[in-house]
Amino acid sequence: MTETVNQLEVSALVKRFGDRTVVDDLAFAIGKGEFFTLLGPSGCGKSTTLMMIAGLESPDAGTIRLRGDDVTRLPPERRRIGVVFQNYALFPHMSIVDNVAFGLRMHGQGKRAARAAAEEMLDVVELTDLHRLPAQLSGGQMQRVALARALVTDPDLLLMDEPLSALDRRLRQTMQFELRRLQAKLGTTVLYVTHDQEEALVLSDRIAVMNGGRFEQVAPPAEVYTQPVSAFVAGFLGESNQLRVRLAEGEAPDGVVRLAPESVGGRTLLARRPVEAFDEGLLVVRPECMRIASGDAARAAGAEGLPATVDDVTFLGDHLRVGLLLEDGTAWTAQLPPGAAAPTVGSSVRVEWDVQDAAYLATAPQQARR
Amino acid sequence: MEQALQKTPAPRDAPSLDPQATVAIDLRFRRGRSRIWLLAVVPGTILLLLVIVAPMIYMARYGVVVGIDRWWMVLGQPPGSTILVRTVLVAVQVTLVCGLLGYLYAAALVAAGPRLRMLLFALVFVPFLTSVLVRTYAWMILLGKSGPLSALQNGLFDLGLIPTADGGLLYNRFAVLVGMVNMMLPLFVLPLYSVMSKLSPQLAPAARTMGANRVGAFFRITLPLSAPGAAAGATVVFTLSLGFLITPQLLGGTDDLMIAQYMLIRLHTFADLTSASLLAIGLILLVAVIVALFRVFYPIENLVVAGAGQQARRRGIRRSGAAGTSRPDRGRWWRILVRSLSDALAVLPWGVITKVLALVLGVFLAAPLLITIPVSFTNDGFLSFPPSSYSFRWYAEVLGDPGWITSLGESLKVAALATVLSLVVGLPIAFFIARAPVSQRVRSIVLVLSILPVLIPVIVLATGTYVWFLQIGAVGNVFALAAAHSTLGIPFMVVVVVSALRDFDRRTEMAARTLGASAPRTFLAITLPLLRPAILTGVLFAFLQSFDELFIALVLASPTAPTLPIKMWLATTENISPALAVVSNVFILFTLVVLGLLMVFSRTRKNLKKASR
Repeated sequence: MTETVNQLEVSALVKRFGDRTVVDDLAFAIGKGEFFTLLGPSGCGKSTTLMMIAGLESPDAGTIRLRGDDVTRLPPERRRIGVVFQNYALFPHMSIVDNVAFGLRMHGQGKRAARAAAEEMLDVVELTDLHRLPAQLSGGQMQRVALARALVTDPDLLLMDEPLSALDRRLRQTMQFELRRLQAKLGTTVLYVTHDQEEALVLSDRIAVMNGGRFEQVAPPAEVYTQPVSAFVAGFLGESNQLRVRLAEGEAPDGVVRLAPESVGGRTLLARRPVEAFDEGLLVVRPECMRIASGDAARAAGAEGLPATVDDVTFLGDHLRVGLLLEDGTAWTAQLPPGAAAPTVGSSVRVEWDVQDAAYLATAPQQARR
Repeated sequence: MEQALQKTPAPRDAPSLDPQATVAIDLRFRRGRSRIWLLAVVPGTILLLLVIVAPMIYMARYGVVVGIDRWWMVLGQPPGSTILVRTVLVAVQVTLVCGLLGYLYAAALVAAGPRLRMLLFALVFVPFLTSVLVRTYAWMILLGKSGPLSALQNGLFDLGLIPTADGGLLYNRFAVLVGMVNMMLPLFVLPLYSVMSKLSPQLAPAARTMGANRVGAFFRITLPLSAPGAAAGATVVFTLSLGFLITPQLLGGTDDLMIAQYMLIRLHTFADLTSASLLAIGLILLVAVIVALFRVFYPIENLVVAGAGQQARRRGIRRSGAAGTSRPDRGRWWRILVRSLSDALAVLPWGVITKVLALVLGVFLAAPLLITIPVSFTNDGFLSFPPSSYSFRWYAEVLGDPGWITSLGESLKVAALATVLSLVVGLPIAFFIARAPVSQRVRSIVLVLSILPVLIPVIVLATGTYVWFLQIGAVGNVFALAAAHSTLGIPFMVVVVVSALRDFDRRTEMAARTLGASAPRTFLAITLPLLRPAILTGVLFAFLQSFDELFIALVLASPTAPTLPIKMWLATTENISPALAVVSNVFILFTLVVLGLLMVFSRTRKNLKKASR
């Protein structure tokens, strides 16, 4: 009988700045303990969404529910959330421990108890020397303080707005793993905002890829990467080779569509059948799914392929990158294992891939799957 | 560690840096609070109406009532007309000299290493904070018959700069110019330096890699780019010179009056309110015209709010670009002449020359602050330099004179009241300008209105408040005086706090809200503590403004309770006894204490700023 209550439920959320709709009829839910990421380019509305959930921005329409309670009109201090801001927003006039104790004090705890709890939390994020001021900390340390400060009140939901973007690459990777460890340990529900696809893939249980105020796709990381539902998603996560195609005449096997490339005449190619049918779109194949065969080699069974010219070859340590030009001049890349024989630049080859690695995607953003 | 922080590349997708995002976030805090914002400007409006607008209207009334004949009598014929022309002439001279010396000094400040820069900056900033009355008194010693510079009098007489060779250097146009340049130079250097220090140090070298020599690089690059700062400095120097009173009065000849002196005579000696009002209107119209003219180059309100100058600076750049590209070709011989001349000049070691000259100028700026120390310890019964022997005699005399002590108490009382008023009125206005949900236009108007009093010559304010307060029976009332003084402190309070609020990272407030603090609690626990250094800086400035102010006090204070500047002013006009050097040292000591506190606050401010980046 008891319905599972989602930790966060957003429905029909809209935000306009002037005549620009920044968040456009957004709806999603996050379960308890889930790590949910809003991923998208800058200006896609992801930070605005987070700010509305935090109560620091008021929506023009829609509702926000935390643990089943409607909080849409509640001020931020009454939402029981934690927020880690992009630049940390530490209180510069308070010591580390006072920063962390602040939330507890505001929730009515005594000075001594608050400090003790703050020290405990700072121990969890492995910070010592707690009476320093924020100005005396490194970027990574500030990040830990911000995290401890947001977590110490045991919020129902932790909101993180590009928290790692100010750190250098190496520190960012360390912090990613630490964040995951901490989240697993405390069982916190997290809504994470980033424009960094790698960060999203590493951290999330589910990723919502956002574009123009709407979701393009909501799915676990592996699915978003291997089965993008739109050209935007395919382009935003990882590299992809694309070719304009239209649906071709003729029978195709189950779960597959037959496509005719617009500019590479006289051939048809097979690709996975999309959920909804449409007449024209893009054929999308990941570089790491590609093989290169010599131009006159027989076509392997179950493989698709196109003739191409090798444009350049670059050795990148863990893989070999081959730049290709199709007959119509479209540039593709193939990614080969580091030990593979490098094709000669200028030679004519055949680029091949398996049918199940080829996706047929609409160019215009599809309505997000709910 | 700080360096490491600064090196961190700017985040690619930083919503904080997007002005639109910030505006949007603000809306949340502002929702349904527009009435409260109106309350923020109510005290300021009342004060402005009472102390500035009403007096101006009251004065203007004289102008309308008297008719054109009286106007002509006061301003159109001697002595009024000659005095007016003379005033403008002196102001032009002072501005030109300040411009020349100021560029040199600012260039040296920019080029200097950290130690020399700190020294040069102190040499311009400490005098800037010190009472004009005190510095002018010091010049009376320096230029006086028995002063340290009296040896120069024969030479200056031969050059035709002073009228007699045996009366010391005082009481002539030369003394007035020296004194006024000394008072005004910091006001030119400070805005100019603030613009020049923000120019990339690579610009001039870059021009030189393209074939410009040092001289060419200065005239083609540095000069046009720093023009907005110079325009700002020149506006301030010129308008203040027009209304200057203390220095010409104490250092000038009695037949060489400037307009402010003439006004004081009409007002204070003859109680001729009509003439004084007409002169005040004339002066304020003159200042308004000048400010409006300069505003074409540089909006005056940008002077005071860091960051607001961007637009003007960009405008300056555009102009300079045009000058560089569209300069007509004046023929080969002319260009060769200019080029060889500037090549010849460029050979000179300009770096060393500017630094040495700047140090000489620095000594010139600091001289009035240094001379009063030995003089105050003299054992002689009259002013002499160097003193024949030293003692604490004059300190004992001043401390034993209840008049001086009462005056000090009166000054402290008025300054404290004025400071409190500046804080109570200025702080809400600063928040309004920085945060109220109003258009940029409204912000600028409120800002200009709140800094208006410092743009009006003090003698005009004095005249206006005198005629008005006389009417409403507030002359002699200590609260009325403090209210008038607070209008001079509020501009500083507003400017300092607004610029701190512009730098304020509002995400700290948001963080507090998400951590469970209500809006008022956030204000008390986060906003106010973070603004404390700025507020205290404003408080100190407001205090000094009132503590040093002479003329408004002179006309408004009760004659039985003169403030310290009044008592000192009256004493200087009688005789320049060494007792005044002792009093001067009290003022200088105050200034140094204030400066020390300012340095402490600016350090805390920098630290706080660093942490929020």
